[in-house]
Amino acid sequence: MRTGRTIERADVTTPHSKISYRDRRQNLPAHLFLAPWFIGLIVLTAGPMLVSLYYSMTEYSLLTDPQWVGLRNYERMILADDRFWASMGVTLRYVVIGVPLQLAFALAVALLLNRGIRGLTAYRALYYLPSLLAGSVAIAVLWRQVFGLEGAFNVVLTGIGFDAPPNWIGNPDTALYTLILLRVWEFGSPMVIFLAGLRQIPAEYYEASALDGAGKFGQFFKITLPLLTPIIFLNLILQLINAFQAFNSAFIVSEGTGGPLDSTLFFTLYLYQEAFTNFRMGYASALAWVLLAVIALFTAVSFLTSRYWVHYDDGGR
Amino acid sequence: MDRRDFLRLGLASLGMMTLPMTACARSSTPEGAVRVAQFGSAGRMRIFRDLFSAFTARHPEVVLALESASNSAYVDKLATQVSSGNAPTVLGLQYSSLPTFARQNALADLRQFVGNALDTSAFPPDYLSIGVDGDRLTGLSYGDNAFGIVYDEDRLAAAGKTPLEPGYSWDDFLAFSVDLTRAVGGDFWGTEDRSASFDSMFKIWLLQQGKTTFTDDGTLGFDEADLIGWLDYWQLMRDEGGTTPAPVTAEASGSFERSALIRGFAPNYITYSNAIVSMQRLTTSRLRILPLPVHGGAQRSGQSVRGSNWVGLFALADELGVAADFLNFVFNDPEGATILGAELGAPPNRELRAILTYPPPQQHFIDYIDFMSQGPLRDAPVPLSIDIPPAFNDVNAAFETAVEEVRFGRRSSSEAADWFFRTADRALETLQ
Repeated sequence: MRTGRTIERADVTTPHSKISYRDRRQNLPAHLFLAPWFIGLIVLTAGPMLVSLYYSMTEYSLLTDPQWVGLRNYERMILADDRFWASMGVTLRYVVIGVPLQLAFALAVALLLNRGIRGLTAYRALYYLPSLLAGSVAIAVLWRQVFGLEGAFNVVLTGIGFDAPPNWIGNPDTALYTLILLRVWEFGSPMVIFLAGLRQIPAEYYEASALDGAGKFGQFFKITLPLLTPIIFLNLILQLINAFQAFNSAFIVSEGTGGPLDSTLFFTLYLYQEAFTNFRMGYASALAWVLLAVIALFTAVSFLTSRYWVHYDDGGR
Repeated sequence: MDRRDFLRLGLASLGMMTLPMTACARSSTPEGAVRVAQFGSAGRMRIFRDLFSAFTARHPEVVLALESASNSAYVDKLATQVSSGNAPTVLGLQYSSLPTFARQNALADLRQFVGNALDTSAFPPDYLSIGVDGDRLTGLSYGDNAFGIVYDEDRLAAAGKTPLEPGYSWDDFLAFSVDLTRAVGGDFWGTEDRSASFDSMFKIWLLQQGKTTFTDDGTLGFDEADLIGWLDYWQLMRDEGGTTPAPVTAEASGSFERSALIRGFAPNYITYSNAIVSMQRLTTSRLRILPLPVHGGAQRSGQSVRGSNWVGLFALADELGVAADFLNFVFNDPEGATILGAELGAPPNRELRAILTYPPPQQHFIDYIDFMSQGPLRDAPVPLSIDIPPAFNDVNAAFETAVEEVRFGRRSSSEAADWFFRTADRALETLQ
């Protein structure tokens, strides 16, 4: 052990100046192959992010040079912008209701598909399709038709005896829930991950518990769910980030207005309006940084609380 | 392959990768071309290409290049190009965008061309006053336009109704709409609900009462009582069943394709009247344009002729003279005016407008513009720079929210008006 530790320390403390010219020449191809990625990161990601941070502290209309205003955009956002709070409220409701529902539905479908049925690959592909399509403009347009006053949904409701069903898209009390339903319909991606996770759970656990008299519900809550928590956690993080950035559905369904009565005004849609309708690029940049902070906060809280509910087979090492 | 060859191959590959980037950086616009930007449909782009062919046949030394985009992406793209100093020379603009670009000094003063390269002698007297910003003439409208109510005449006839006569009052409009709802029944209402239309209906309502949306110095030109009166009028219309309920109105908002008229919920669509040409393609019913109502005893109708499609020249462009020649061809040459037709409004050159012939829906639109510019309802237009101040979008959004709050029964008229003034005042204070 002592020897091993000594070797590790020697490796770590090897000064860069000691890397020979020959070693550096040997590393050159690796650096060259990595260069496009590094250049891309610096030029296309890090650079624009820093510029956006600068713009967030300016008044900038695209048509004139940015004027430095310090933190005034952030101050206005918090103290004097009703639509900022409205859009934040809509987005939080969408995320807090939509993501758990989506994950629950994805898990339910994954459990159904994990029962060794014939043609699983075909079913998996079939159920994955909505995820590929749901973010598209075409599906958002279709959604608008389905949940309109004379849409397919109301035709079905009328058919089964509901008298004068409401206009789901045109009513501020229900419009957001049609978008949440669209989110749930995008269950394919987390479902595939759940399915992979379910197949990792050793069958012996179920066999042993069955011998001990455990029922299906007991097995689900005592074996499946605890062993699946790392996968649930992964899906939760991925879908949280994705849901906060949702844009297409609200933009298409509300024709870019976020209406009726700002009930579908996602944060990203408000950001878009400020940037490309009102040409307030500085303010829109500040909104983008606030969104980043909110996503980071939710992700951090998820990670911090994960130690209490995520169970790893190896104890989390 | 030794390491040296491997490195050479790697560098060559890197070089190959940069080639497409270099190609992307090169513009597809021919060298020395005068760039013309325009938004709209593929059909409109074909018209512009025909205009280019006709103009360059007269001026073989000129090359014109069209830069187009859909309505939604157009202004974003143009603003980015202006920001980089690399915008097209001729900028097609919606009326609401013109003041924004003018305020940023992105548009050249067109007075330098009026009377020489640009002949405006056959244009209406008010024409040049609308695109003025301060002491500069920053834009010209491609064609005259006016707000109106597009009615489905067949639908009215089926209900045993004839359209109201121009000059009818707001009370007549209310009674007519309520009667129509009762006559037809079902999911059909006598008028669409355009109470959230700030720059058209509400402004006209105000002008008829000697008020306006914005004053010359950019403050609000009306008070809470005016707004409450407007909100109450439409609430009465709603209560009596004369107009579409709030959820139907919300769903039918936006483009004319989704309007209550096209979808069969109402007999009308209140808009810029040239929309009749596109709307007629979507229905077999006969469409007809009517003016908006007028308050009894009003001194003015508030309904002026104002273009919806405008054009300005990029202030930093080199070829402004050629661009002015092109505009003169479009406006004043019989061939140019014939090609453009009524696509962007009624030709401003009155002499040409009178002798050109148009297909039926366009002719009806031209007749309506002639009536609104010469008939008893004729009124003087307000310059765009006053109608669209810097805080316009925020005030407009607040107005729409206040109206929707009343529509959905979330606030009374007085509560909504109080909220609107607090919000609008804050926007004006911050942004003017």
